Amino acid sequence: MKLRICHLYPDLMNLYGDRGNVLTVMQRCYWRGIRADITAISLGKTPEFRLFDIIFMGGGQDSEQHTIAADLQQKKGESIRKAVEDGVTVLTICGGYQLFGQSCTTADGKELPGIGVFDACTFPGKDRLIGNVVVESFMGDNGGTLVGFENHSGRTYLGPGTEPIGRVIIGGGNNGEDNLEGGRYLNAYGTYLHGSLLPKNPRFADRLIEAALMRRYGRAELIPLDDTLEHIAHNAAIERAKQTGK
Amino acid sequence: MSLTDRMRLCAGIAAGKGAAGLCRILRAGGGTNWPGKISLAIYPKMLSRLSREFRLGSIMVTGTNGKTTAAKMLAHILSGLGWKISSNFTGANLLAGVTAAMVRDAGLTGRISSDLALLEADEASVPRLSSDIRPHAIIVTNIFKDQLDRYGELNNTAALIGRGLAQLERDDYAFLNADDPYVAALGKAVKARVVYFGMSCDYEDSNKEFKITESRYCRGCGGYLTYKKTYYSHLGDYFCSRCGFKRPDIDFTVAGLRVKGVEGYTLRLIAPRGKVEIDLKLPGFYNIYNALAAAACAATYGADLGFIRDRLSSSTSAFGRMEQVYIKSRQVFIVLVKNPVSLNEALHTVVAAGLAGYIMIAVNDNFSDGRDISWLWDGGFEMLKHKSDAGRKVLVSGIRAEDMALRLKYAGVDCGSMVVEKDIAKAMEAIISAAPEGAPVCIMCTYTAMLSLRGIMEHRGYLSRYWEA
Repeated sequence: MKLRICHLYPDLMNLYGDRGNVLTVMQRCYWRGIRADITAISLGKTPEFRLFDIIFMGGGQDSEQHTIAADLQQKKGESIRKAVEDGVTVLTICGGYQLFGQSCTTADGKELPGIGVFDACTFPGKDRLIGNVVVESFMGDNGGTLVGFENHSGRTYLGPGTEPIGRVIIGGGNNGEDNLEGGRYLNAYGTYLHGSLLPKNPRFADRLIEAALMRRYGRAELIPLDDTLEHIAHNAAIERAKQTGK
Repeated sequence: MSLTDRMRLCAGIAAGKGAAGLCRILRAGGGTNWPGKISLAIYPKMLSRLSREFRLGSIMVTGTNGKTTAAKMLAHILSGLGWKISSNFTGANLLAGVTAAMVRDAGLTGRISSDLALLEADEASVPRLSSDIRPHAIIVTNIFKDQLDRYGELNNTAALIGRGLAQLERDDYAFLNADDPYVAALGKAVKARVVYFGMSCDYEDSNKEFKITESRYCRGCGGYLTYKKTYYSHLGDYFCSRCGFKRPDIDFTVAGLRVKGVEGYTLRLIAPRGKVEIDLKLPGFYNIYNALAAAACAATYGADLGFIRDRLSSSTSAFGRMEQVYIKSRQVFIVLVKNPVSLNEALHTVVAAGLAGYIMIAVNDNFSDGRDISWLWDGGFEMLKHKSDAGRKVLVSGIRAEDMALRLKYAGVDCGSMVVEKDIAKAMEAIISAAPEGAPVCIMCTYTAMLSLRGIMEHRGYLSRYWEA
């Protein structure tokens, strides 16, 4: 079995260690004998995104959002939307999540168009939401929690077309107001959680792999891995969030 | 100066000195910060008042990596000229730390006998420190991603440093790393005289697999920067084909380089007024930039090139920067890591020098370390997986030990050789006893983990107290 993985803008959206998500999926495939090929796609290039199984995009600097928003609007956006409708698995973090929404207004008041995978709009906040985050997952992962670290000034509000991935227990989440975190549409996920997210939330990582295998091969029985260390780190992160968080 | 001001000045100094003394008596660490806080609380103008005392004014060193080492090298050169120098070399580089350092060197009436203040400044503190201290020169080493939970983003870091540079007067100096597009771009708006340093030798980044490229895009127009050469991370010889922004002409450069492993480098330094060959006994490519920055500044302040060569050749590593100590017949290297770039350079040096056999990595996420540990996932720990001798041991420690362990697992490091011990003292003893006598041990740690480690080592009599060093 083989999965084709796309890492979007690895040269630009690479500010907060989100590369760990790609690494985690690659390793968890490798340990199970699933081949995972990775392709980096940056400015200018538009592949047929439906041919990929999983698409990743991380967070970057606000200033680079303009460049990327413009690039996504050119041809990529259309191709990515079709891929999502076709069931391709997507994980976008922070800035990536924002640009996969309907629109994103930056701190200088400029409204950047998103590619509309998520029914979500982002507005500038007065301050940054920064800190450890614990989320009660709506997806039944890891005894019900997701852990990570957020660092964003944008406030994201979901419309009816996108469901949140969880409820915030510690931290700010989408906007610091409605206690919701992340967005999900079909197999596409967006979230503010860095950390990296997937290593400490291995069930979520496997959920992405499963969805990708299901779409390509029509079956997905994942060999269980020894996740002792992952669970210890997950629980330690919850404890640390309790000590440092609001 | 009004009488009340004078009274508050003296009271502030006395209180600060008292607090520092108390720290020593109680052995509560170096007391490098809170004496400064107390002094400032009593007399908020403390820093601007005391910094007027220095006959030759102040030099400030800032940037993401290398400030401590560059400042220490520069102090080593300038003190050789017979100048008495006040400094804050323990990494206490926020407002309180800098104040504490000056209070320590001041007499009770606020007189300071040092000729020059040589201060390393945290990037976020640069605007406030420069307006209080009014330095005559600012050295900017580099701008990498670091503690983004504190600074926001790289552009923000650059802007903070830019605000400090903007306060320099026409006769002052800015020493800027030409190879770093973030730093070089700051040069345009500076009133002061700008001296650029950078590399022009053939050394190529051998660390391509783990490259961190946060600055591929032009600071001026957003175009893609083309690199003719890359030295490490985003440092190199670059130009923008869209707007013409390019690496500025370099005043101080290294034109030739011989790598001598853990022994360091032989460098051919070319300055506006001559050239000289330097034996730099510090491993780590980044130290070449630190030496260049120190040489450029020292030469501009009038030091002779031959003298600079002698002093740089006898420079030793700064607090926790590949510092070596001997503990129970083991050679222990202490390496501070604080962001992906310093981490990768450290890993590279450690692996190349054969120090990865017995390794301890301690990661804390206190405020001074940066609360966010996502950067561990940008680090190239994969470099450690090839090391596979049978007796190999890896200890992970600190507040975020579990995260570090997980990072190593996904880097492909054998989990059988890995032990999680959150307690830094226990982890240190375990890694030292795991190594055979005579074997090198490497301890990599984040800032507050290093402070704990130092405290423990000192308490157990393994080394002298760092504030006396």
